[in-house]
Formats: sequence, structure tokens, C-alpha cells
Amino acid sequence: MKEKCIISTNQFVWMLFSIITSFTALQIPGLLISHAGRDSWMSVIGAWFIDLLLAMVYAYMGLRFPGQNMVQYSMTILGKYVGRIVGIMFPLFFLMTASLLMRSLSALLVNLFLPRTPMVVVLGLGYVLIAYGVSKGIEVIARTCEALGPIYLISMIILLFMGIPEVKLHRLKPLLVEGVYPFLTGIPFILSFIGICIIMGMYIPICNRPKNGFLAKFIAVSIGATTIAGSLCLAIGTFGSEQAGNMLNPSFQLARSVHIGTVIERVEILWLMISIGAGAMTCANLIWAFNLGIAQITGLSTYKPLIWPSVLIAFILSVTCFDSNIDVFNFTFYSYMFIALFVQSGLEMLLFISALISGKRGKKTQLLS
Amino acid sequence: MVTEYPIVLSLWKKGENDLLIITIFAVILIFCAYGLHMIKNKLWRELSVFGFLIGISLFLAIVNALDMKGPIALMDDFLSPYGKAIFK
Repeated sequence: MKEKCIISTNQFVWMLFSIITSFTALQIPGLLISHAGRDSWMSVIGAWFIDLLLAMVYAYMGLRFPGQNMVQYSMTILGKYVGRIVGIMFPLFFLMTASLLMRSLSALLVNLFLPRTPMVVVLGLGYVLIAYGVSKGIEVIARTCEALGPIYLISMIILLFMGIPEVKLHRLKPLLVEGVYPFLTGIPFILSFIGICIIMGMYIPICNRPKNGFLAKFIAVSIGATTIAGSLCLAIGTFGSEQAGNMLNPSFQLARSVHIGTVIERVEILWLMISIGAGAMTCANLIWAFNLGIAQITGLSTYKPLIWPSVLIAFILSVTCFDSNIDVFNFTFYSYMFIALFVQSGLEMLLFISALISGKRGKKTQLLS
Repeated sequence: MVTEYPIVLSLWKKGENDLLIITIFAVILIFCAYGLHMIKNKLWRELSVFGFLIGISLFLAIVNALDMKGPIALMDDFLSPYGKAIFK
């Protein structure tokens, strides 16, 4: 099937930004600080650079195979059968990430704000909302991201600025005290989360200016990486690396500590709004990408009948695959990175090299200027 | 006094198979909402993919009810030793 919707470059940027923001708000910064300590912001810069290199490959492939996303061009490059096996791994990765993200978001909500509500209820309501969003199509999701993205960004900036008075610069020093190993191994860890922006490969064919794919990714990842690095520095500068690394969610604690006199207090609700909103939009994007990919692999005319079954699978995965929040952390910290890097970098590089060697190209179609 | 419950309600009462029961209800609802429409319009390819995904969701719920490990937990078992070696 060919997705007929069209999104603008602006919407492209805000969709990717929402995806990056959603992971910033979860336990990822805390895990990174616990591993890389004061050097964690350097890991973010390293991951930003590698992610841009990866984005070049995705943007190039999007232009080499006009009108095709990575699921489609894997079938063009590797043939009907092998291409389908490789191509299906992208949608499966999106589904796994969506279920992991929703589980983390629900854990956050239940632990911090709704302690007496069963997690199944929170997850169920969240998935119903996501299924409704996906059923309206990618254009509606894109417009929502375009409307909410700037609000998230402005809120983040305000939160960061309000946190500055609490920062003690000496807590950010000395750097590289444990050598380069922690910050170097922190790079693939944070890259596996920033790298979810490989979903750009699904957006390029539906963007009104496919040539702007790299530019959109560059802007979104640069803003996102700055936000992550800023919140890491702020958390370390406020709490110290040891304390921030032991926190369940340093960004939340940071938002909780922010106040201006007695006039502006309890701004963590602003932070919650950002994280839940961005998380829901990210899940909607991921579920849409899963449905579209499966519909293209199986040759369906539309992905709409698959939305509710796929949301049901994601719901069951979220509920059953982790017995406790500790299991979620362990999977996120120790295992997720390998799966993510295999799909985000390994598979795409395989397709890229195969396309170069075989000299295959997509059929030239009329690109919208 | 022991009350006789229908099988489904007795399962529900035990609280052990809630997810399986929720999944069965969800599957019935989703099938009524979309599956019947596809049968009526003879969209067999759509129906087969739809049925396959529904089957996976039921399979995952049954796997959970039997206290077996899900796919993500299995991947975690396989990969976490490597992760623990890197992130000491």
C-alpha cells in the first residue's frame, strides 16, 4: 500500500522532537547519569553526532528510493522473501518500543501521581487514546505534534531556566575522572533512544519535500539533544552525580525543586504534561509506523483494520513482559540497546550497502517541490 | 455456602487470569467491530492479517496465563549478560 497522506517539513520536525522529548522525561537520564556520572552530557553529544551520520544514510536512502519507506525499499533491494524478513523487523521494533514506552509512562504515572490506580487501567486508557489517534491518520498526529511541540519546547526551556539558581557549578567538575570508558559506553546507550528517530524513514515518503528529510532530522535531534544535555547538566549541578544517578527520575525531582519564592511552586505538573503528552504522541507515531509497515509487507490496501489488534498486542506486551519496574529498568539498561542498535544501524547499513553493491534504485516519481 | 459460578466468572473471581479474560472480551469486541465488516465485504487478505494479529494477542495472553515467559523477557534473558558486561 502507498500512504497518501502528506506532512509538512515543520510537522516532520515537531514529530521527531516529540519522540526525543518523550524519552528525556522518563528514567533514561537517570540511568545515563548512574553509568557515566558527570560525563553523561558528553555521551549525549557523541550520540547526537553519530545519530546525524545515521540520518544522512536514511535521508539518502529516502531519496534513492523515492516514495518508499525502509520497509518498502528493503523488499526492493533484497527481494520479495529476504526483503520481507528484514523489512518486518522495523515494524516489530516500533511495536516493542511503543509497549516499553507506554509501560514506563504508566509506571511513572502510577508511582508518582496515581498510586491507588491499577496500572492495567492506566495502560488500557492510554492505548484507547492512542488507537483513536492512529485511526485518524498520520496527518492528524502530525498536526497535533505541530501544535503541542512548541509548547513542550517552551515549557522545557522555562523549566530549565527556573532550575538554574539551584545549580552549583562545582558539582559538574572534574570531568573524565573515571577515564573515557563510562562516557564512551554511554554513547550507544543514549543513541539507542535518540535513534528511534529512524522513524524518519517512514516520514520521508509522505513529506511534501522529501529532500528536507535530513534538515528536519538535524533540527529535531539538535534541539532534542540540547534539551537532554541541558536537563542532565541541571540535574547533576543541582543534586550531584551520585544522588541524581540514584534517583528514579531526576527530571521530575528537578521540576519538583523549582520555585520562584512562594508565588510559583509545584511546577512538576508542567513537566508531567510534557512527558505524558509527548509519550502519547510518540506511541501513536510508533503504532502508526507498525501498522503501515505490516500493511505494506502483507500487501494490504489500508492499515486501518490492523490498528485495534496491534494496540491489543502492545497492551498485552506492556502488561505481561515485565513483572516489576525493576525489570523494566533492567531491560532498558542492559538489553534494549542491542536490539535498538541492531535495527537502527545494522539493518539500515545492510540495506545501504546492498543498494550500493547491487546498484538498485527506486523508480523516479514526481517529487513535490 | 459455596456458590457455583460459570467457568468464566470463577476464573475472574480467582484474579489469576484477568488479562486473558480481558483479552478474550477485547478480541470479541474488535472482531464484531471490524471482522464482520471484512467478511461482509469479502476482504479476505485483510481478514487473514487481522486474524493473525488477533491470534498473536491471544497467544501472548495464554502464554502469560500459563506463567511462561513472553518474547521481550526471552530477549532480555539472552541479551542482558552482554549488557551487564558492558555496564558494570
